Formats: sequence, C-alpha cells, structure tokens
Amino acid sequence: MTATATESGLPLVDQALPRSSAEVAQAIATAGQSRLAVYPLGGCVGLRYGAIATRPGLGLSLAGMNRVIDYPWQDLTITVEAGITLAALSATLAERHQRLPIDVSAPERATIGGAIACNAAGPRRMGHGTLRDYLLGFEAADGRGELFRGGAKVVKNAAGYDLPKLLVGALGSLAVTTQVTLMVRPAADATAALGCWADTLDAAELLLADLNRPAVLPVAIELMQSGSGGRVSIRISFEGSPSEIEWMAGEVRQAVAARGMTADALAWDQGPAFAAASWLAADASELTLVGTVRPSSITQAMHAIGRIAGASCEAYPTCGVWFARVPCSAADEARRCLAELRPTLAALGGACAVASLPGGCLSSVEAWGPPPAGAPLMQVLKRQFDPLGILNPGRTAYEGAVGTGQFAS
Amino acid sequence: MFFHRTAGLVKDLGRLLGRGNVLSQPAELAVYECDGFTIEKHLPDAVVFPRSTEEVAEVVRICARHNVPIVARGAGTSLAGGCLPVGGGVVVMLTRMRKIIEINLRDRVATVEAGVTNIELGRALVGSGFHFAPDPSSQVACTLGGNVATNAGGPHTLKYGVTGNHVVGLEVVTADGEIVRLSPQPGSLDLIGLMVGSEGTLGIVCRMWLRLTPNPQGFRTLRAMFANVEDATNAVSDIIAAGIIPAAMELMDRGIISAVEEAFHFGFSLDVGAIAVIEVDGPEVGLADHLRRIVEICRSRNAQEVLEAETAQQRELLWKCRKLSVGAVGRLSPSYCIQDGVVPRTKLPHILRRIAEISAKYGIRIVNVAHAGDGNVHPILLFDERDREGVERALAAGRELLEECIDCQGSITAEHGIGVEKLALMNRLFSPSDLAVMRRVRAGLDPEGRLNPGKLIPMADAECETAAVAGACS
Repeated sequence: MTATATESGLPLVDQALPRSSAEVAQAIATAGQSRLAVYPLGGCVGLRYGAIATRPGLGLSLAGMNRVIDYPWQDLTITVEAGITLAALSATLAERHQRLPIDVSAPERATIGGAIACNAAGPRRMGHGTLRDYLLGFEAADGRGELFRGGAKVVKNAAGYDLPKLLVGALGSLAVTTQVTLMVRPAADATAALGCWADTLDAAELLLADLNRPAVLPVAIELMQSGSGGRVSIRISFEGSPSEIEWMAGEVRQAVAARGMTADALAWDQGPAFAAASWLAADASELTLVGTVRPSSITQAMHAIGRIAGASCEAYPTCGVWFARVPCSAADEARRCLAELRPTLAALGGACAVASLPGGCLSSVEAWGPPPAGAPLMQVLKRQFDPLGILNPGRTAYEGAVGTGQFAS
Repeated sequence: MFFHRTAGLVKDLGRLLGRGNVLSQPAELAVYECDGFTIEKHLPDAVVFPRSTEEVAEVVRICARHNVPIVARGAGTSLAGGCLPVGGGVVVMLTRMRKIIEINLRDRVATVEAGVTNIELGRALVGSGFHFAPDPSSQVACTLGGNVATNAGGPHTLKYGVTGNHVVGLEVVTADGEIVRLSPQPGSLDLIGLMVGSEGTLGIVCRMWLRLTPNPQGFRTLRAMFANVEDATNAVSDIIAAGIIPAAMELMDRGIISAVEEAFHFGFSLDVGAIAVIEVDGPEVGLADHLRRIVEICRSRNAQEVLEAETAQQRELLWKCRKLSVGAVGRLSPSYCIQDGVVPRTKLPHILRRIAEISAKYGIRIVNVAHAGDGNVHPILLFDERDREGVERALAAGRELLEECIDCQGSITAEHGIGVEKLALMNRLFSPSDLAVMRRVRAGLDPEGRLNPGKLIPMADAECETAAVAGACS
C-alpha cells in the first residue's frame, strides 16, 4: 500500500492509481461489479469528515493525475487534472501573475479535486467567495463508472443544469472528478493586515457592526479567542492597490479608536493568519468543529464555545463561519463536549460539523448533526448518480446510515 | 409529449384559489401563450395566481391529480421561451407573490418572494449602502424568481458574478407538492446551486434569500472609440492581463453604432468600428489610477477618442449609447431577436468576424453588443416576422452563430437560458452521456416530467425536439 493509502485510515482492501480519466472510470466500474466501495483519495487532508467509513473498498488515488491540461491565461480560466495539488496549481498561475484566491489547508498535499469535494475555504471567502464560485466545468466518473462532463470552459454559462455547483462539497458521493476548469483571478496588487484586540466578545461585536459599512472592503476578517473570557484577537486583511489599502486601513483604525481599542501598525505583505488551517490538517487527537451561523450570531456562538474548558475558536464573522478546537485525549470526553455544544449552537441556527474526533464519528448524525432539509431529494439524486451506492458511502450528512436511507442516531 | 388530462381541473383550482384567481377562457389564456420568445405559441389549460407558497404547493398537488404540466412564470420576459406552456397545462403566475419580506443589512441578506421584480429590490435598497448585484437589462420588468430560474447575469458579471453566486437560501415547491427550505449545509448537496438556472424543471421557487453586496464607494467610466473590433477586444484583453477586473466592459460594433446613430443622432462618425464602455468601481482613492491605466491601454490599442466621466451625470451620458442600443434596433426593424452566445474572451474578434460572414450568407442584418469582459456576445438579428422566409433565414443564422460558439469552446447561452429556443443545440453542445446525467437529475426530481416540459434538456428521442422547434413559426 502507498503511504497515502495507509494514512487514509479507510478500510481499504485494494488500491488504484489511475493515470487517465478512462482508468478512473474503469476502476469504479470494476469496483461496482464486486460491490466494493470506492474511496476517492487526493492529498488525504479532508478524510476525517463524516462518519467512520465501515464498508471495505478501493482506495482510488488521483495523485497520478496532476497535469495542467490547458491554461488560456488571457481568458482567466485554467483546466487541470483533479489530482494537481493546490501548491502546484498556485505556482502555475503565479507565472502569469494570477491565482485561485481560495485558502486551503496543507496546499502542498491537498488536491483541487479534494478541495472541491470538501468545499475547502478559509478566511478570504469574505472577499473572494468559495470554490462554487470558481468551478466552471468538469469531467467526472459517476458511480456506474461512466465519464461525463458538466458546466463549460467559459466564465459565464447558462446551458443545462449547474452540475459544477452540485459537485462542490459533495464529498465525492456523486462522482469522482477527473478534470476541472476553474475561473482564476489576477494576483493581488498589494496585501496588508492589521490586528487589534477586544477585551470581550461583546466589544468585538460592536466593532464588527461598525465595520459592516460598504466602503470598507477587507478581504478577510478573523476573530480568534483562546480559552473562555479571554481577549479576542481581530485580524483584518486587505488586498488592492497600496493607496486603496491605506485608505481602508485608515477607516478601520478610526472605527477601532472610536470603540476605545487600539490597533497594531499595518503590516504590509501580510495576509490572514488562518490558524484553523493547522487545526484542520492536524492529526485527529482533538475535537475540531466547523460551523455555520448567521453573521450577527457569531459572537454568541463563540461565547458558547468559550465556555468549554480549553477551547480555542476562530471565526470569519461576515461569512458566519467558525472553527473550534478542544483538546480531548479520549473519545468520550469529546462526545461530552459535543453534547454540551450542539444544542446551544443549534438554537442559533446553522450547522455544526465534526472535522475530527478521537477515534472518529460513529454515525452521520454525530458527524454532521441532524439531516439537512432536502435530504430526501439529495438521496434521490445520489441514487441517480450512484445507483449501487459505492462512492464514499455513508460519509455525507444526507445519506444517513450506509445503504438504508434511514438516519442512525 | 401528451398528458392525458382528467376533468375538473379548473373547478379544483377555482375552489382552492377563488375563481378570480383562475383564468380559463381562451381569450384570457391567449395573453400567456408566449413570452419574450414570440415566434412560438402554446395555449395553456389555465392560468392561476397563487398568493403564498402553500397555495403554490396545493396547485402543484392538484396538477398532479389531474396529470397536467405546470409552468411557473414571473414577468414573462424570457427570450428563450422558458415560460411557454408546451403541452398545455397550468401556468402558475408568481406575480402576486411580491413581498419583500425582510432586508437584513447586518447579515447582508434580503428575503423576498419570487414575484418581486429585480428593480423593486434595487429601489428598496437605495440609501442602505447595499445592492443586489445581478442587474440584467430587463430588470425593470423581470422578477427575481425568473432571475433564479435562468441564473440571470447582466453587464457586471465578470467582477460580481451571476445570480447563482448571490443566492443563500430557497423555499421551493417540489414536483410532489412538498415545500422545502434549502440553505447551505456542510456535507450535503448544493441543491440551491442546482435549482438556480434550472428553468423551472426541478421545482417552483417561491421565496429566496439573496446575498447583498456592499456599494462601491465610487465609479469611473470611460467610453473609447476604435477603428475596428480587433483593437477594442485587444484592449479588453490587455486590461485583464494587466490585473484589472473592471466592473463592466461593454462593446458595441459598427452595426449597432450606426443603428444608434440612425435612431438617436449622437454624432458618431462613420469610421467608428467599435465603442467600448468601461467602468471601474471601488474605493475613491484608487479609481483615478485604475482609470489612467485603462486609458493608456486603450490608447496603446489605437483608441481614436477616449471620454472619461467623473460625475454621475457624465457617467449616465457615457452609458446612454449602450443603454439605448436595443431601443435603436427597435426603431429600425419591425422585429428583432436578441441572441445570446458566449466564447472565451480572446475569441471575441473571431466570433464577431464569423457573425459578419453569417449575416452576409443569410442576408440578415446582425448588429452586436457584447459583455466583452466575459466573452458574452448579444448579436441582434433584424427581420420582419410577417415574412416567413425571412424568419427562417434569421433562425438559421442564429443557429449557425451558436454552432460557431460551440466550435470556439464556448456555450450556446450565457444568461438567457435554453428554454425551447436552443433545445436542439443541446445535443450539439453536450455529449449523449452528459445529457443522460442531466436527464437522470430531472427524472429524479420530477419523475412524471410535468414541471415545465419541453424545456432545457432535450428528450432522448431527438426527433421530438426537432419537430417542436421546426414547427415554431405559426
């Protein structure tokens, strides 16, 4: 077994390292005949999402498919094989002073196919959106082992269903992407970051409300708090021309001063801290949660997390996204934290998903919370793409228990 | 397709909604037999005006009992026949569901019913510091529900995206009459993304949660005139290569310029081959520099005249020639068809050359505007709909130019959608396996095939579609 397969932690009885789309399709078709599950593998960064995989299967690694197929840089698009790492993709784009402005943990390992499957995103989603805003088209193999394409190679397209959006965040449960066409952006002209401290979450909330003014356009705002009741670190990142950044930073300083807080000097060539990157990519000896909530309820969510002993929290307030890390050496300790946090967070609306838990999540509900609205529709679509139910089975929030369509609790 | 109806449909609808909210007399129904795609007409069995999501759900259940198709309709501005009641059935008008439920500036979300027009939301947001970014040219009439159905765009999409980038929640009535509220959930499928642009084939969108975009602090606009289209499109490419993403880059070719000049007498000289209207937005402090760089690029590409706007009035003036384009065509031709194709940006000169060749080949005058930033070209074909032979030539010219878009690695629609108009071309754009996947999606969510039949995805039997499209002229 390759290092990748071994470290994946999945119940693999076989592995494949296809070099072409046709080989990917063939591997899936063959696995289907033996009723083996198929576990698509990229950089193995996001494998801990979802319930523990229990069904023996094939580790289908896309690591050998990492070429740039076409890069018409003047059209602001690039077509690549799904196994290309984010680092390699960034390097290619940087040659033309372009980028894919999505923050992904462990970019030297993470593949674009995996990032798309997990809808990986970081702090700059505030200014740049997420992968669903950049995936224009793709080629993929469905659960039957049949290749198909969706979307287009151009930046604007309204022909047919927006299948690219359907694949983003689907955890490989509908199809295994083999090729993707992405919209890219020019590299940032200049970057800078500014930090300040709020004594309490409530003080931070007041500042955030002040900063919700249209003219001030940071590319990212990160709130970070370690331990309950501690000071809240606020990091605001900017992109643009130097004069634009200076002006925006000046506006932010005024807002900070008006709230009686002080800000650090503007640090040029700096960007978001993205502390959560290390949490998400780390070994699973802690409870790591990822959640969504209304932006106006972010500090309430952080209050709830802060009450857990030893918890650290990072949030992107305008996006309504938060991360929590609780050091727990044992699974039952982690489950106690989860049982405490989930009802409070549920009351704020939004979702709370487990990114890692010692020993792994035993069920879909433990990993994701209650099934999402529209789950029955999602199950119908799953059957249309993957009638044998072999693609990453039982790992998503919408399928419930493996193969039964019922929700384990 | 044929749906064997049961009796009592109109009676059941009347009992649910009140007779005043159900149209069933032929004279009343005629108004709804077509939309902005006027060359094909189908009479519905009934037209209904529900006032709530629950009523829409009941209507869908009644239609299921009577085995009739359902076509959701907003303002009917579709240029592709998206609202055509092919196979008859019930047209569900969303226009009486037009409340703006909530505008939440702190969370940057507006909650609206499907029948709210794009401009109504815009007006409600004036002074708030925020706007809803997708602004299609039909925004004074089109509904937000329609924008969602077609994934509408407009001139600002290169920088701000299309409707699908701005929807954060949907309340949908599905084919079985159930009401589902969709919001983004980790570990699940992006049904919102799937629904946007699905042209009413997967469900009826009744309510939307729309992302609001902060207003830029300022704008700078310029209008540049070029001797030919190549210089103009090269300037556009250079601007993008320089790392600038303008808020808008509109292109007008010689044909549309002379149409605008004929109709409105701006004083454009005859040797202007192309006009580009380019706008940047953002913090005031950076705008002068962005504009200067763009002017330099235009001049380096032989721009004959470059006018810059600084005030709001000047800005309006520079935009005027572009905004009057369709009106100018309307004054020159009894009928016209605004086509919608897209190619990679760098292929714009090529597609415009081919359109000129196609125009000559079919003897159909074609003038062009383009959202140059994203390679989205709107050839406007001029004809007289009373002249059957001319209409045939116009349709053939439209088909050929869209086939050229496909051959350039583009698409057959950037923002208008497929409707019925481009159904046959879907077989050329997508492979049989691609279409099979889309058919499975549709069959999964609409097993009886009664949601807006005859649209978007051609049936497996291509003959049905060709016949339907060929029989377009009545």
